[in-house]
Amino acid sequence: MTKKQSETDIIVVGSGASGAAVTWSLARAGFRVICIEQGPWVDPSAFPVAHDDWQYQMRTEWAYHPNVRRLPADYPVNDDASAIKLQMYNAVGGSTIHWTGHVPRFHPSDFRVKTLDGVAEDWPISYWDLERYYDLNDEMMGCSGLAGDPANPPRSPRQMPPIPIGPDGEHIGRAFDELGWHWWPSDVHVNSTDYKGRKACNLCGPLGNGCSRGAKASTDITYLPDAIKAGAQVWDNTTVFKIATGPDGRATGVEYFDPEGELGFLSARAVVVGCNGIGTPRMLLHSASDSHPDGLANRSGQVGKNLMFHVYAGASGLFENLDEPTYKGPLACIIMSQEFYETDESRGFKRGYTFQMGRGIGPAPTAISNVPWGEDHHDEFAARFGKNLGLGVIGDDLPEEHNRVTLDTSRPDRFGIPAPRVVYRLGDNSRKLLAHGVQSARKVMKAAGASRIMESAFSENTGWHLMGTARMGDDPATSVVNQWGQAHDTDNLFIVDGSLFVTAGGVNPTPTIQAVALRVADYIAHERGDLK
Amino acid sequence: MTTHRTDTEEKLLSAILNVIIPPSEKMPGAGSPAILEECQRMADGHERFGEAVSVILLALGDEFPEASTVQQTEALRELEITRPDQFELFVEVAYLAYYSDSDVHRHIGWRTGALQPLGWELPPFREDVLDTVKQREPFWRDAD
Repeated sequence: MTKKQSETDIIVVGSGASGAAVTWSLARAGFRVICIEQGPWVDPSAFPVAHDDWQYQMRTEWAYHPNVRRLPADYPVNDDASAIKLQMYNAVGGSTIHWTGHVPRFHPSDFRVKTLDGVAEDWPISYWDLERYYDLNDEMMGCSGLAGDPANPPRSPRQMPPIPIGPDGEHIGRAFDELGWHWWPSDVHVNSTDYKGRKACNLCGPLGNGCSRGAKASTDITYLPDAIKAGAQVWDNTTVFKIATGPDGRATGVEYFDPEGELGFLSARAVVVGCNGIGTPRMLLHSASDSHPDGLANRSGQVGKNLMFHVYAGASGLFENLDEPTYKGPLACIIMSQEFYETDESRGFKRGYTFQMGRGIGPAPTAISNVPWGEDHHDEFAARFGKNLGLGVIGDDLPEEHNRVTLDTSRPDRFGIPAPRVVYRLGDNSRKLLAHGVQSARKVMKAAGASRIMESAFSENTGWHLMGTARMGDDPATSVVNQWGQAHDTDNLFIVDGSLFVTAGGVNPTPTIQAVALRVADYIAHERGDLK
Repeated sequence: MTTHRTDTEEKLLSAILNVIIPPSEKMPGAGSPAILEECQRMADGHERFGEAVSVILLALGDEFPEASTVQQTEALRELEITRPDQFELFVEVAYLAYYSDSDVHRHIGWRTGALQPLGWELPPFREDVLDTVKQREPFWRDAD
């Protein structure tokens, strides 16, 4: 890390999906950009899949929950009062180190839920405003997939053909065909061929815990190397704990702890925050000042509110006669179905969900997730191992003000900064949606000839997608940022992560987060020359 | 940090593990020496596992190894109810140790070792599997 100057044009806090994209875009536009990340650069050879004890590592220092890992870069979270438990990673690359690379896009209807369905709020932007940024992001990250999906608007040819879906993916696809339901190979930011110096995926399986081949795109190996070439700096192991503001209320820079734990201050013309839907409201609330007594950019009182995850459930089945064991191939980048994505009032709920097919990934995860201890253990393990396929239901999650992030001073991090406290209850619409999803998934399993079908009515450890806690909108009274991610209260403060989502959609949010971030960066580059 | 257990504690841990995953005609039990050692290593390596193992050992008396299988199972079922979080972690580390064992891998047909650099092979994607769904008209809603 180089830290010689005390001022710059733009500070980007966070180097994950959004922060890295903004850093790249603004550096190329000629801004002096410093991206500050609380975690370290990760050596790909350290990822679990490269080690004999990968199963153990996945459950310990590479676990999804920060309170399980307890690494120096992790801040504690209090999700005791949340029905869904948080999953995130803190390193250069952020949670793209830990994602599975599944990149379905929002549908046009996701941006107009109030107009179309009478729930939540419309976004101030449309799918079409983001389309070219989705395409740009696919180019940067590298997308394997196939255009022509009838459930989605037409899109550009993907950079690479789909990842092999395997005999199991074809088998489940035929079951969807039998039911007359939609399915399609997943768009994924995982290479099916060599791409931009990164190798093709060799289908080892648990790509959610880092990819030692670099076949899975993460921003430390996609955006950031190009950003650094364009002049950006990345300060790793550096923890920003407060965005400073002047008497006029504008952002003046950030206060941080450097890798040695020393306090520092970096001034800038603008600050861009990409700390995810939990870290960003934590940062804003902790940045209260005389000019922002209730937290930075919180005149509306909306910072931290309207937290959305995606609600998860599903069904799995056991299959005796597949050509290959079901642990061969990526965990979740196989096929998806959006048969029930759009609202149909006859189902008794608004909005909808995506089915995402999943596989088993090895003996210990198979045992831990499903197999009872005791005298039946061996028989039950044998029945499931290499034979288990699942359909996950990823449900839209409507914003509700009581689902929120606040500060918890009783659980400070190593620097004494309060933890985020998360309160989240499952809404009535979500319950109905999940019940429908589970029954529909069961039908697919039955059509596929599963010898046994197991249902999961609700999945708790699924808080990967963190959205809504600093939402965008045209009205400063009901939103935190405008359509350009610019805080209503502070014209040189921008938010670019999932916090600014107005609604959640029924798909993984990362490509939408990155498209929005690239659009914000374009706005700064073209309309805010005063920040250079 | 390495935890040094007494012979009595090791005997107790081995007995508990052999109830969690009992030996069978073909398979070793989780209390077999190599797996016991691995379980202990894993517990030492991660605080949550270490705490769980200590709590479960403390909750079960030294007489546990001499009890009948039925009594042992009942004792663990009770712990599963009274100490659910610690018991779940104990089972998790037991499973991790058991299914990290190369002898167990050989029995279940799993290739032992790291997943990389070998990975797996699958046949390439065939677009003709989409022939049916391609017949469908677009059904997304245009909202603007």
